[in-house]
Amino acid sequence: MLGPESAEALVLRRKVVLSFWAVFVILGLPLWIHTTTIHRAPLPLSAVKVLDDELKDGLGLHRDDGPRLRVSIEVKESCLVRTTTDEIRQELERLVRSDVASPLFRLELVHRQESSLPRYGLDCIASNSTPLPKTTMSDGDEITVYIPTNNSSPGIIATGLYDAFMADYLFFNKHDLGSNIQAVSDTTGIVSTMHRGATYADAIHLSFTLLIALDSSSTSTRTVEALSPTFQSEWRAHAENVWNTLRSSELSRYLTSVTFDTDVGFQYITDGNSEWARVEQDASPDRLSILLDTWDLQPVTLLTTTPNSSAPKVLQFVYFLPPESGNTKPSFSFTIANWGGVVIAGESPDLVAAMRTFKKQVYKLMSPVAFTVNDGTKSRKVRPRAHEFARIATIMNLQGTVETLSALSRLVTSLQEMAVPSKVRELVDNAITEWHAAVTNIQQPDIDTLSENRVLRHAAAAAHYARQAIFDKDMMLNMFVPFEHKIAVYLPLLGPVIVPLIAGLRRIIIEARRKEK
Amino acid sequence: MNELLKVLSLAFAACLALSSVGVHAQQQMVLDNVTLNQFLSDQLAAREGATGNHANNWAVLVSTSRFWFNYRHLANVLSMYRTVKRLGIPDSQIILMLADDVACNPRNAFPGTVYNNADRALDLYSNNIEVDYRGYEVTVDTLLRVLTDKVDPTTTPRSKRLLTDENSNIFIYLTGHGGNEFLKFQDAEEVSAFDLADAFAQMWETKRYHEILFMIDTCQANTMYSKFYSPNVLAVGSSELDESSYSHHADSDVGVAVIDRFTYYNLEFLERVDKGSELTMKDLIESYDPVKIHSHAGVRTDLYKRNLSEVRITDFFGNVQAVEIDEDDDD
Repeated sequence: MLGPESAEALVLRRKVVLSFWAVFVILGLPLWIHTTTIHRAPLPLSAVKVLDDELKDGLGLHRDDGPRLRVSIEVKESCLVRTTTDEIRQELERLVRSDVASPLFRLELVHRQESSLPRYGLDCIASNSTPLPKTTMSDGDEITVYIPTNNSSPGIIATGLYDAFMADYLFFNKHDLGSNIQAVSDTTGIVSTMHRGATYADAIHLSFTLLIALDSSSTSTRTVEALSPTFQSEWRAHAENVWNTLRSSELSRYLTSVTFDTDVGFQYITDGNSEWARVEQDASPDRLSILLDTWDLQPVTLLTTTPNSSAPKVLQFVYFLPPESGNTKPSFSFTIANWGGVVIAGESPDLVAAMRTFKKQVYKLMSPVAFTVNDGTKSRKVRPRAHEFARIATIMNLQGTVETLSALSRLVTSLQEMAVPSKVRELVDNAITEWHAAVTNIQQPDIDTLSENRVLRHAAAAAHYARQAIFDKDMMLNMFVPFEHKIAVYLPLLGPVIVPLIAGLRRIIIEARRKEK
Repeated sequence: MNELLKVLSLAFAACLALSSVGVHAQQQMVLDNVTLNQFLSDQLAAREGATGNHANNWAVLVSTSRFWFNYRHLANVLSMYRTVKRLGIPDSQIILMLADDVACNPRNAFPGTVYNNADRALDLYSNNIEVDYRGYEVTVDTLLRVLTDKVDPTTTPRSKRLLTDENSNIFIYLTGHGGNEFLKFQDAEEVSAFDLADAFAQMWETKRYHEILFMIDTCQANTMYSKFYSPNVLAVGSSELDESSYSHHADSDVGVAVIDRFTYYNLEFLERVDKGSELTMKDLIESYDPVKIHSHAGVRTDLYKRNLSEVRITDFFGNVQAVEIDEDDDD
């Protein structure tokens, strides 16, 4: 048995225990807290909410004194009860308010009796259109379009959007009464049409591919011609011509750069049951999509997500020469939103016609849908001009910014285990700064002249920063660790240390109390 | 000694108290139905119900196992890979992650091949497969980064990124060794059901999918989708809690099991599907037979708004491109 503890040993023991506690509390605990705490930089969530509110309020662009376009919708018979019509009206107004171009125009249903305002050309579209099915609107309803611009003439934007919206969903679709509300609630048509364009409007890369099908009759005249260097250099020259035309067109006000490349590829057809042969027999849209599968051309989505912010968006354009044998179909073409366009040659390949089609496809892919203007004698399609779709792209970018920052706010709030690097805070601040710069410029009266490019740049930058923030690679969620796992790790680690420390401290305290007594 | 015993007793009591606190906190993390429905409504309202149109298809196929004796997991994934490719999804839209240590394994009696059937009729490893992540690249961190696209865009090639958007239907297939709410990755780490659920939540917020079909073939697989809370996710698993998933058969020459039961019977169904097939997810689910699979396959549909009888198999296993025919313009 050990003897009583000497005074020196007692002092030493106390110093040792207290020293260990000092190291544990002063150094150990702070270090442990620092290394285990998830770093979350504070984000300006309230500022993001302000952006959302400003966008919903129309960015200060709505002007009640702007020109109104009033259109009548004719129906052969009255159908719905007033309450149902009111519901449809409210739903339409809600859709338009949430539409990306809502700061540019407004859609409102009013009763036909309120006809004091002058009418414009849209009347012709309404009256000459197919009458509404009776299960849609009531007889006395009209649609009024507000365009908050300083232009004296009606903005083409509103006409185009109106046409796309109304034509698709009210005039030409036949819906059952039960699904009517749902039908007009579906905004995907107009939204996807508008999102067809390159949202960021920074740089576009056009990739032209000449795809030649080789079959057993590869010695056919057309195939031989297509395989010749002359034809292929002609192909490259035409593609370059398209590129030059686009670069010098008003699209250049919409983009920072347009680059291009050309390629020649070959598709080998081994037998009559090939995918190509089947497509030739049944060139329906469903079958056409199979072409892309077999080509395995890298489809790049250009929608709200821009995968690589440092690379330009790529639009693919493919001119396909099918096997000549048995091919009697005329040339036709199709586009795939956010991917590109395909032209399939007919009996006689015509590079000039193909390039003309490609040019139209570029516009189609980068701008909202063309609208039909009916001036009473004939109808024709007109595309929005560059400054108009620059405005639309601006609004889309601003909306994209708000949506992205709002999503970031929701994620950061709901996922408390997610790290938020300081870099993300900087990106969010930059996005908000660019947003305000864009909004300030968009409210200027000269928005429709040269300055809309500046606006678009700021809006695109805002969207770009927002996307960089939400996709920051260091903003990862900490892995979930079950609580029992934490106990299993900490207990053997800390137990052998903390138990003697507590025992030592407890003894010191008991001794001190005894001494007091 | 008495003091030491007292301190130890106190420490033990403290541990018990902490454990009970932890268990209670975990129980509270489970969303009850009412809360979940409200959350789903809020999520959809935040996006104003706009979930895009189905316009393209992607697949993420992951074998989380390595080593020779897990041959069947590699065969599972390669079988699914072959199926989705056959139905039209191009390599550029498939992310294939596997350890890839089987085909050229010294134990492989048929070097350079992987079979999913003892008759060895089909070599899954030949014919143009593109493995995006192989070997030790297949980690939990990699998977989560691929799903959420939190990768370095300057160093990660496009082919290794999931370039989806709000119009993309994604088929996510995982196979390997799993347990109650976890999945083992290459014997080194685990991914939990919570991690996957939060990854899907991030994907939803960043508009990275239109719909997801999540399919998992592991032991206690159904627990892996129990924590999901994002909209438009349809989940299918091979076995219930406390249930194992089993292999189907072994190849005596290869020496190991070559396919798992759940995947085997999925493939048996999918072999009847072609690009124009009208078969639906309801048909697939109804084809699951616990007697054949030797476990109870589960499906979770509460997060998925469409009726399974209206969801074609090709909505997830095939490929869709929205095509617009050009009209003559009077420009």
